[in-house]
Amino acid sequence: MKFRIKTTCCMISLMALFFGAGSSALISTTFQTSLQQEKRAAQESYHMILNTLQVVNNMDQWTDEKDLSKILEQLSTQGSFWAALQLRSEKEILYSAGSAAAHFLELADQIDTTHLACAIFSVPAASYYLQLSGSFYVGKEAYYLDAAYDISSVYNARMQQQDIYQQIFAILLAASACFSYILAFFLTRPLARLSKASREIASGNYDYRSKIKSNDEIGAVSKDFDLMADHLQSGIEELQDSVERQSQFIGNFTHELKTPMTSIIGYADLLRGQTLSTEDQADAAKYIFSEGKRLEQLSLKLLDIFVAEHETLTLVKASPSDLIYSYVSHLQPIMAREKITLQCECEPGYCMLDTDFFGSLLVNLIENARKALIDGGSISVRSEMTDDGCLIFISDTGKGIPADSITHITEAFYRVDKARSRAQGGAGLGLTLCARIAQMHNGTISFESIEDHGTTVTVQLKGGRA
Amino acid sequence: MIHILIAEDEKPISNLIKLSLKNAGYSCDCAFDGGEAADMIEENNYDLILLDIMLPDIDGFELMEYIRPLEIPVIFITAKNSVQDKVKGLRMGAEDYIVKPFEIIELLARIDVVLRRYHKADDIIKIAGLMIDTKSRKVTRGGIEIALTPKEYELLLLFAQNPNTALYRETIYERIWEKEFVYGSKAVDLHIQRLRRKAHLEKELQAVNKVGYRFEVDT
Repeated sequence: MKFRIKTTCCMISLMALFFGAGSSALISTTFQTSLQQEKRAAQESYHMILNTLQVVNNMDQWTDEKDLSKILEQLSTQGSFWAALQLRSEKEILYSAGSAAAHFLELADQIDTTHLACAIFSVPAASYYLQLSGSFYVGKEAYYLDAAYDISSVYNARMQQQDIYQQIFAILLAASACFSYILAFFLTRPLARLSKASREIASGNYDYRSKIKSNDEIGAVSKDFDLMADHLQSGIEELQDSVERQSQFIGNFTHELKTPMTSIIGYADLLRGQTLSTEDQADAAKYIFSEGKRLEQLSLKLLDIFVAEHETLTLVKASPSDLIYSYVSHLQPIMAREKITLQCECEPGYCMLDTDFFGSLLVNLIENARKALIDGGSISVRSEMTDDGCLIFISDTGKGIPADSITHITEAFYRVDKARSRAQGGAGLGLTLCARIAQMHNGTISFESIEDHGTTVTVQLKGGRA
Repeated sequence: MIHILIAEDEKPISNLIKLSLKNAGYSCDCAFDGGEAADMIEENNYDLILLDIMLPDIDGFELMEYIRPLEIPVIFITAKNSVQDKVKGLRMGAEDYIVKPFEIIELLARIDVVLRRYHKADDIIKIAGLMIDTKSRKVTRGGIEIALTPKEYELLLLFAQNPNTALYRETIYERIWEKEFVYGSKAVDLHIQRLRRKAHLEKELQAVNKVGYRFEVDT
């Protein structure tokens, strides 16, 4: 059942219960009050008759019963208030007036200390009478006087009230049903929106939001829901990105792996199957060697990345300047052979580093700088201490990186100049590894480059100060 | 002579294909990027283009748009082994699609099929005094037909396409039987012996010790 229907039903039931009880109480109180009034008036009238009879009785001796009837007759002609009257002795009815007299009840045994009994009787033609019965003595003889008063008006009033009450009840019920349905509709409308939003999101429309602007609980739920959807969406996007990156990586990796494999297998097949000229043989051997080397490079770099992805960092207190000096002094003679000057300028100090990964980062970046130099040049390595680690700057005077390549440069297998990178035996993974190492140290890697003038790589490591 | 353009940016592979095609009797040119390939197509007439998809400058798919109106058959060469790429390549009008790493013998067979489809290769191969009609699959020597089983015919065709090349038993088995070679299987030797006898190729079909067989012909 829908919530709005439930609400409507509840409202109607409550309405019916309270209104019904209230009105019934009201009607019944009104009725009782009117009845009491009628009773009092009837009693007064009855006492008057009784008094009259007793006064007459005292003034001159009751001569006979006929006189009694005459007095009553006189009373009734003087604009009688009662509807029926009956006077009787033990033996016979002395006087009777009014049509309702035929229906008088026998109340003689109920007469109380006030010499009065009271009862209500109805006549089939839907009229109600209040019967008062009393007794008095004339001499030794007991006489009974019964009087009936028409109280139909009280009953009619009650019936009328009940009719009106029923009509009002029906109207009120209908009105309250309509009102509560509309109210529930407006109250539950945001829920419908929320439900639609859930369905939209479930069906893959992750941009959809419920956007209910109200300060009540539903508004709060909507806000929480939208917040959840935001997180979900960003999570899914991240996941999709990572899947895309992964498939891109696998695509590139396959290419990187298959190309040298095709060459190696192909040349080896040529060598074993055909008699090649010495020149072709030398070519084939050269390519098998260089492509084999390329595969080796690829596997080593991949291993480095794999290690970086899966190994946890072991931070130790180390001096970046000492590490840089030791690597640079080791590399200087090799660089000198290629007419490259390698200098360094480091601020002394200690910070927390993983020395193995730091070394790998340094060697890769210096190697990249070397590859950027076309015919000799200079590479400078600088380091500075910061509050939570260190900054490393590696600059070269090489050919620089085109501006549109800078954003892609840390992607796996991305190469600015494919042919040149291949010729230098690069796997296109060096900077991917460097970026990963910087990230492991909570740091960043950034590139500034002017084409044909050189590149400066800035690495910020935040392993913490020692 | 059949003229083939190799558009492949990987120098080792380009050189490998060139070397193999040269040995198989084709003449080849090499282009190392898309622009160079387009220029060469414009300047020369090629019977077939071997096209790498991941070419620098202009990629293989873009180049295909340019080649299509010229009605030169194209075989795509790529490392991408995805069905989408394959479908895209074939839909664009490529004749075939070969995925790296491939074996040269497979590339040669596919080139042969495409050239034959375009009637650029002779339907009749004349080799070692034999006439092999590839259309009717008939082999004759001096006008007399030699009855060969389908497997024997396939074997002869394989040798005829790869003259003076030592073909390994497992290579032969995998090409002809299209199944993984089981070590010690004598199927290849058995069929070659019968082919030798039937087609009188005792001298030409030489066993290469521990390797397989070579079809020795004078070139």
